[in-house]
Amino acid sequence: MSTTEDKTRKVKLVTSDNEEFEVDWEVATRSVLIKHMLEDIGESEEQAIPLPNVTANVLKKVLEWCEHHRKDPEPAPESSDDNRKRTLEIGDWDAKFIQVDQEMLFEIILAANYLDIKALLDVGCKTVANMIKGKQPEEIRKMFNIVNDFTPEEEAQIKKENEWAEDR
Amino acid sequence: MKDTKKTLSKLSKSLDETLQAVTKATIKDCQAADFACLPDDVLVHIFEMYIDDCVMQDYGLFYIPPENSPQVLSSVCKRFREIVHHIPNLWRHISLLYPKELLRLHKERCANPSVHILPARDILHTRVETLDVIHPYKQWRELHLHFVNEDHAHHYFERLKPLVKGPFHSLEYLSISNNLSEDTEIEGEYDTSIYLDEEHMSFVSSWQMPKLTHLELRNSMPFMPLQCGNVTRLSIRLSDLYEDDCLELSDFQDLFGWMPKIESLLIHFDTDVTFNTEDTPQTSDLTASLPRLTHLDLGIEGDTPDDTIIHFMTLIDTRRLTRLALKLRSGNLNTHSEGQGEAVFEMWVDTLFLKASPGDSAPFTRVEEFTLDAVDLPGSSPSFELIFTSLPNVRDISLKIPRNSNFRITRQWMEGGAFQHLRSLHVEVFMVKNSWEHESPVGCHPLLYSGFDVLSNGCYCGDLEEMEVRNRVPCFSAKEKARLQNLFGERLHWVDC
Repeated sequence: MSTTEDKTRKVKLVTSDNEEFEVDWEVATRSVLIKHMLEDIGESEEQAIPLPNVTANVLKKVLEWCEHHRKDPEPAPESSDDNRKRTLEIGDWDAKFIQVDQEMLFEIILAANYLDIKALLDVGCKTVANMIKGKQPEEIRKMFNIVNDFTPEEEAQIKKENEWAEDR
Repeated sequence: MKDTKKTLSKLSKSLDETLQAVTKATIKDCQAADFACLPDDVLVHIFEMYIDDCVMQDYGLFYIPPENSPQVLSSVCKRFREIVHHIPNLWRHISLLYPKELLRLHKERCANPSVHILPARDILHTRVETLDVIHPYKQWRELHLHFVNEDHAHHYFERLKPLVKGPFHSLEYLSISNNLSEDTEIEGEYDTSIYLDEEHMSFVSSWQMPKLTHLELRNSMPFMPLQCGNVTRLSIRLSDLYEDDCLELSDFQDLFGWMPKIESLLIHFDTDVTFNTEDTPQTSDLTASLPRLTHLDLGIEGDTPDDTIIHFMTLIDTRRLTRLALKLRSGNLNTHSEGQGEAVFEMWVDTLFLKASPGDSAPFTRVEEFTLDAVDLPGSSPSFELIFTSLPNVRDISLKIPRNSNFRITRQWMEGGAFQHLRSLHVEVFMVKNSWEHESPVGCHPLLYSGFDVLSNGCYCGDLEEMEVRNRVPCFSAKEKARLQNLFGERLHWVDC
């Protein structure tokens, strides 16, 4: 639980390309990683948090998301039942937010994973899952520029496994 | 000289083209690198989402397209294949309608499947024979038994009978869903009813399901004991029932009695068929049938009579509830003329908060979490007052209401005991697509402009930590937002959706 003091506190973040961001504590602590780091360094306001795996342009985007979701409740732990009902629906604001080029999309996913921002990671993963949905392997390869690295033997095996699809 | 110039121009053009091609390829390579650098656990997360979404939960459109099988993913590249083959959970959904080869792959890779028996387009396409070749029933984690009508169900039951010889050791979730639809290919042998034929019911009643925790029943009312005493979540949906059917309170009472550990109950009525009042069980304490119930999700839709709710609520000890969720929908009712929606809303609220608990001064006294989802029914001020003064200890409130709701909190509500312990209030405002709605005046709307003024008064809501407004109505101006910000300061979280 955050205190009133926490809410007014500012946090400095330094990206891999040495750009410094000063943000509200409430915004920064959407990231579990940053939250834990802040707990570790205690009250020292001057100490900047280094984020060696995130560049400035990506952090800017991530912070935009954190700002918008600053008051969201902590995500509840998933139960098996929640898993069953999970859908690929994305909220309107998030859908607009994630309308970025493929490179930025993956950068956001990587940053959300590194910074431990589960809700943002979900938005990114859902977007990729939506892109894959309904597509054939070849279409998926083309979309993400994935090399077909199967050996001829593996190709033959896959072809056999996928005969059902050809019969349809 | 001219020839040299021409050659140079050609060369320059060719160089430009080569450069462009290389640039394009480099950009593509960079994209590939981005995808390739996602860690395995993130890829698994993406794949799980992809698989989850292949199961359509909508009862009108319930299917699992084989095109979304993990097999598709495993055919993309070595890395995908490696990951997909090592996560059994991705292969858990098995539909009777799957092609044989696909079925075999799923069977090989997941030992505890979720078996989906989906409505067949006609009696000739039930694919019941598939039940013989999937895993033994003892390994099933989930069974979704969804049929068009009981003639179809008969085929499944007959095929299952020789297979099921002991307890369903792994079954955690069971759904029985009857479309109550006709199959034009056959002349129906069984009634179109929520009550199964005695022989079928007897078979289901013989199933031992010691690990079952979640039971869903749609248009299916068991009338023989079920062996699933560990169920904690029960969902019942009754929709578009035939006139010949009649609900019996004693059936509900019996059903609850077989599952004494139920903590959470979802019940959704969307039918004008109501309870048989002549067969009300003669017992002094009907509510004793759900001793552990704390969460109630009540859905009321269409032309559900208030009698249905009044009768059903006699089985619920509302004083034990800590969470109450209401979903009210107009359904086929004509709520398009002004005042009609309010009247329907008022009728159901009166039914639940007054008529269903006569003489009880504080029927919902322990409710701490309240959700109201009435996106197409504008509520009236007296109805909202009745709701919130009936929930004296509510802490967290979530409202999904249309913009034309007549919602304005007054001192009278507060003095009547409303919002005394309110901690968080989430309001989502929806646009209503009614013809008369478009004539609403442009400008500040009272719902958000002044509806919550009283809450900002510290002497009433000292515990209020958070107020979130999700605004789906584009015509709300910045004025409402500014005013709420002025009233609630940092506690306000405004989201334009």
